[in-house]
Amino acid sequence: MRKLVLALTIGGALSGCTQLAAVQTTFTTLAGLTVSPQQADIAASAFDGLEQTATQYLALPACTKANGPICRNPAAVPSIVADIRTGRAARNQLEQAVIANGAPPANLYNVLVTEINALQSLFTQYNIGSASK
Amino acid sequence: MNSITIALQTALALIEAVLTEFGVTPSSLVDKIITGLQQIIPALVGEAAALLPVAQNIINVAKGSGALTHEQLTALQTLDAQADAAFEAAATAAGAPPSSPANGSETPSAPPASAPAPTTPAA
Repeated sequence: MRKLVLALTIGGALSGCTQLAAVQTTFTTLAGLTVSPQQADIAASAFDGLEQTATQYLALPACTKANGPICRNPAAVPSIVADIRTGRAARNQLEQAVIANGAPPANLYNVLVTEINALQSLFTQYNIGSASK
Repeated sequence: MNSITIALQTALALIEAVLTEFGVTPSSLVDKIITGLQQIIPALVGEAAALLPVAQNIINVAKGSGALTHEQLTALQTLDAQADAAFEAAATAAGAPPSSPANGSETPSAPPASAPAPTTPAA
């Protein structure tokens, strides 16, 4: 029973810190034709975390004059959705390249990094994820 | 929180604990984790969407856990697609147009919507 309680505590802590927790890693674009699979994996994982944060944010009720601070700003939605979709397409192609030949193209990596940075800027602009830091 | 959610949360916490306990996860263990996630994630979508980030974290840890086979990578990528579907459902509910090639979802070379400098450090 004690182990079960511990597991639940760990699970609760994990879910609490992953919800609306924006990734705070600095990414820069790279020169060259390919990047390493590890670099591609790290960028893909960072993007996945941002996508989860965005999913949680979009699920919030839209902000009105009547509701509280935990709400979704409608002005943020188009940019977030566009950046996630473009980043997802790059991530998928990057992962396919890792699977196919282990040499993911740098241009796809750079598109993904650009989207990661754009999303991080949006999250800062709209205070997304700041509540759980 | 209902009993199904508690059970799913416990299962995910145990999987995550096992994954993070080992630096490089044995391939056979990754197979078992993938199988477990394939069974758990559909239940998460229906019963406990708040736990999806935990499942995503496990997928990401598994991806970086060592030399994976192509089959394992493909299976993990399939699990990723469920997170993508959850985002699309939330985006549609928030009033975004459906995903299509015309709105950039299939054009990774398109400029980003909010277009910061590529080398701008994160906030």
